[in-house]
Amino acid sequence: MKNPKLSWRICFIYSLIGIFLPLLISVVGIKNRLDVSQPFQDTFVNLPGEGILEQTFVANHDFVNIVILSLKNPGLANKGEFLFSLQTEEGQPLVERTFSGYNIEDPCSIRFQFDPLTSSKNKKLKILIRSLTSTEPSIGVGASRKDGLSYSVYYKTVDKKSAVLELVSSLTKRFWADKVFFIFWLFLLSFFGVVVIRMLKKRE
Amino acid sequence: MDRFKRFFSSGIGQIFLAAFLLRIFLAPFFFHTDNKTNYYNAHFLSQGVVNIYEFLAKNPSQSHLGEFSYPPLTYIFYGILYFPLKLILGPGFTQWLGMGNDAVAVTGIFRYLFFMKLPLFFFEFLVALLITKLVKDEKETERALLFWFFNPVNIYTIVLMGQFDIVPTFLTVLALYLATEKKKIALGAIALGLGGALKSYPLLFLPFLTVLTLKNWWSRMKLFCVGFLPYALLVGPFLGSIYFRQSSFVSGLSQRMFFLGLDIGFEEQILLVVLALVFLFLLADRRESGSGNLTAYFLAIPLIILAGSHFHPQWLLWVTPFLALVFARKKSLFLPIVILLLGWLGTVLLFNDKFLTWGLFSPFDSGVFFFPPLRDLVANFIPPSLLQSLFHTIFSGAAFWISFSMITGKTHEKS
Repeated sequence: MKNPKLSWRICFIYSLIGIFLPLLISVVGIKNRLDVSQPFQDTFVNLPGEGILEQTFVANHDFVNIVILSLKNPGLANKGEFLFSLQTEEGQPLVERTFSGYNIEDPCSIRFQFDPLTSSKNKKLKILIRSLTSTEPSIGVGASRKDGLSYSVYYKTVDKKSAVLELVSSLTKRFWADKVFFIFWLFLLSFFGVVVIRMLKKRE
Repeated sequence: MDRFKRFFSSGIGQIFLAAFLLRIFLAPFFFHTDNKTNYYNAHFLSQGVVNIYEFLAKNPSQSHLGEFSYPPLTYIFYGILYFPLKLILGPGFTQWLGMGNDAVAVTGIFRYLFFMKLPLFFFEFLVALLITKLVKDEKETERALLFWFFNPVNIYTIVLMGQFDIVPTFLTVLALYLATEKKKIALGAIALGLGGALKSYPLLFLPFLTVLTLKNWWSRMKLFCVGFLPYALLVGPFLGSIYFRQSSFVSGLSQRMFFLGLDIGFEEQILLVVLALVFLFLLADRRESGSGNLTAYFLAIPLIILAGSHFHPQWLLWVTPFLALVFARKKSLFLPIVILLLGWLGTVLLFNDKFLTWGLFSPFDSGVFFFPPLRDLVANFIPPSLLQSLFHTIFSGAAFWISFSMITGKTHEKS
């Protein structure tokens, strides 16, 4: 090869882009970060005509402003009206939104966005979905048999400095949460890194 | 051991090592929904489900991520891979597969993404090995491998997205290798038939393989049948199922190839992609038999399809190994290839699908899901469909030029 290190240079450039571009986009552009979620989903709970489904959660941050639910309406069969409500533990509504079966695909994530709740940190809140009409067939709401309805709650970040700190801390926490994989991955990279250095030395 | 040391300290070995390290490093951080959806649907094989199309249609409550739209062999391929992955990744893996497409903040996401992509890297490296067999000169091999491992199409579609198109792509390169290097044309045809059973496009290579390698029409017919047999055996049992026909048989390529047409009145159209393929086929038939030009035709067929169809990003992967082979020998193709890749990237980034842009970065921060698609951002300056059409046209221009140059042999090296 004319330049034996060319492949390493390309590899290095791709690695830098691969790591720093997402971080940059995240820091510069993202205004909403994940607060709390129940992502597990092994079934769809039927929401019958004029029925109600509820799920409680405790917010970890102030300024909660988005709730995402997983819904399912095969063939847009149910064209009825539904109510999404976010309530305090005591049942006082903080947010209410109506939506139509026309907006639910098979399956899809539906986002409910609202003005940030200024003092949501450590508050127990209740998500409520109600069918306002008796239209059949029922829509399905994604859920885990063990943990209840699936949901993701997001909050609005207030300044860039805290956004950077939160991003880095959340990423390292999540990576470190799977210690076995983290160590295995680092071992692979180090092992092949050492092989590369040895081979390059041998070449020289 | 010494052989390994010698190989990895050579220029070619260094490229293999660099490519491997890059893949290991990046694989855990990037997510696309297709890979997860395929594994989720195929995990039903472990529950004894054979006709996944019928099962999902009759059990909508189990259809968490939509229908399975690939041929049966793809279902079996993913279904078999699911067994070892389930053992390595634990019960949380199956739970995660069934979650929504925004479930990127779960513990274990990095492990899942890494191991789900590993089998695809294996096929990518197999293609690289075939390239080393198909290109004789060492310098040319290095150039071909550098292009193969580090072109943006492979990085985007395999390392970031985890698209399984690399498997049928491997089978088309294997067919080329078997036909040209080993002179085992029948085995090459079988490889194409198997590729077609994973994703239908390799079947389009089959008529070209027959006319370019054999003269006698009876032999050609026999070879075609041999190649078509694996496809027929794997797809045939499902043809009776209306659910299969609805979700797999009439989707993707088989539909999009027929969109570009010239209206000739009375509800009739001249279908331009089909027209170009027929022209190419007759051109192949006119040439003297001999598999020397097979690479050029294997390159031109998918390029013409992509030039005239609304393609998926991973479809260009059908082309990249053949581009690597021709670029190794013809440096003068550098400019057309750069233009082709620019056209491809512009077209892909302007799709109205956030999972093809920001969504890929979602394991870093799931907040990217709230970004508008890139298409919406450029809409303030220029109509996005016009810009996308411009990129696709640039892509098509380069695609036709490369095909023409390779088929006619009208490329010459600049001194």
